[in-house]
Amino acid sequence: MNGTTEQELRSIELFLYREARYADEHDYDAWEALWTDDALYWVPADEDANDPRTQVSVIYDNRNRISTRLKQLRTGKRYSQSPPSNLRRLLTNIEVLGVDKGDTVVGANFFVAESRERGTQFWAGRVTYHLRIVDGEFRMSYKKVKLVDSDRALPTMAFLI
Amino acid sequence: MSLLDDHVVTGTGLVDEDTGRGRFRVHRCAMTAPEVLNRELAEIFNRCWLYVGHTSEVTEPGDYVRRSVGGRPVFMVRARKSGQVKVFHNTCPHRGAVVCRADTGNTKIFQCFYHAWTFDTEGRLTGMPGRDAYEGGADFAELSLREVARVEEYRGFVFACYDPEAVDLVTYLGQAREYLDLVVDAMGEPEIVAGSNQYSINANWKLLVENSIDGYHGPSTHDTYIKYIVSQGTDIRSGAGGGNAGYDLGNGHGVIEYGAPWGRPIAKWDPLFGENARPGMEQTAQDLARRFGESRGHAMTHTNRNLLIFPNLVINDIMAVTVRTLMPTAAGHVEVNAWQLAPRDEAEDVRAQRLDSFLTFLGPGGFATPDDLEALESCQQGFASGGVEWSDISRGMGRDRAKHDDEEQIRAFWRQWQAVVEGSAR
Ligand code: FES
Ligand SMILES: [Fe+2]
Repeated sequence: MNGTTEQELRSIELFLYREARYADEHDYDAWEALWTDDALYWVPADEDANDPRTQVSVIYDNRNRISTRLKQLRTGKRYSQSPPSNLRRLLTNIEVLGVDKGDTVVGANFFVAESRERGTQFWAGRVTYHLRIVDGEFRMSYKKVKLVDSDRALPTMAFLI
Repeated sequence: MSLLDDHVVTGTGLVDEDTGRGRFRVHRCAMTAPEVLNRELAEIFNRCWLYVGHTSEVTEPGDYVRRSVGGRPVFMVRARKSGQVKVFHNTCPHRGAVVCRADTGNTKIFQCFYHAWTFDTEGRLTGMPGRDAYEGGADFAELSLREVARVEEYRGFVFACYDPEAVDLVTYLGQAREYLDLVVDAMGEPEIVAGSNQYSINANWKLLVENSIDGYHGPSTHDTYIKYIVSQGTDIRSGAGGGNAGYDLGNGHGVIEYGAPWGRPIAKWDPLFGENARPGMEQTAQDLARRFGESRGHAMTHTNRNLLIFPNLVINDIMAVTVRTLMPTAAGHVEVNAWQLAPRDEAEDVRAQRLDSFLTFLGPGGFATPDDLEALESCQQGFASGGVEWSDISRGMGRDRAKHDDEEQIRAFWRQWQAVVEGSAR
């Protein structure tokens, strides 16, 4: 996008890579700290879904529910993540797309390999972040994960995508 | 493998009920053998009434939805002339191509793209390029879209059956109707909420049938969910004394009923819904009690129901109302479609809370469903170990009146399953 310097883009990329690493490595405390208080974490259930308040989603978490999700994972009794999935993800095609209410809108493509007892599963799609500088550091206020196969039957998705 | 050799191909002897000993068990090859799945496809999914969709999904003339029903592609359409809801096999009478290629929409005609035959929403063949080549006497009526052999509706729920000889739907539903009525009456005019969850499990489909009406696993499998709602101010003792019970409804249908330990969008308020929603929900509860009487009203607002309509429709009226179908694609794999049902005139913020309430528990990313799926996959993995031939489903057999965390409603399913699979239900 016009107005984004190489250096800004680089710092955004480094932030996103860090977010990806925390999610892959189940570093729940570090991942949780990346969110703003007004956070939204959304995984739509249908290809053309545009309103999680009137349409069924897979995940639609506000900040409180993000925290609950992580609390549940930390108990060790979230059986669908105990043992946790072995995860590694690739983030590519990172672009700054604009500004929304002061937050920087960033788009990227992702690919996740998930290995569990049930087998290895590949997840791919488009992720949209809204980023904000809080106390001199990037925070996420929004993360939308649109799966390429959201119109098909999904396996359990109890890990952080 | 002796039992496998003797019984799998015919499907007999896989369910063993011994009332004298209070023992009910199911042979695990019912969950693992491809031969059993073949029998199920022929005897169950080709003969039983199967849920297709809800009339609220096709309200306007020309509205349609595409579905897979019993593993076959079909589509349901509100025909423009007759106003009827029709269900067609999704294959072109010409040479086979899929005719309806979108999940939902509204149309005047369906056109097969292969050779451009067109059909109206009643299914009639209305046009084709080069019609004069058929002057030898093609019967255009015979070349119309083929309707599924039987299609009937009960209070908005549209079912289809591939067997022209099947009993009518109302007879088939039997006592299960009463429970469908409760769900529908509580909502006035229900509608399917936009969107759906689709998920898959590496487990036999019948394990999900069992799980969907199993009150026994809640406290163990969903311990973290229950702790969460307690931490948010839910008083789970509020469900106590709710007439907890499990019933065999006949024809393979079964239900559990239990006092809701959590809030329900119609209309048991809970802190999770927020103070703003409280007066409206309490008002609804009072209105329903006035209209339907204290006890039926209470059942609508404060009692949870997990209802199985044989073979593969589950309606769980819990912290939201979910309508779920399941279909095996292999002995060890099942695909699930889950919709939400809600009152059509529901206020915007209550609807949003309902969706939230649903996601808190349900779906492939919910706080509970993934742990169910994990349990089912774990069972399927366990079966591979062998050594143990039978699964035990005896819980509560000695009781006069089964509880919701007994397994009577699960036995109801299995009894019918056995009869249908071995052909003695005909
Ligand atoms: S297959 Fe449909 S028009 Fe030929
Ligand atoms: Fe469960």
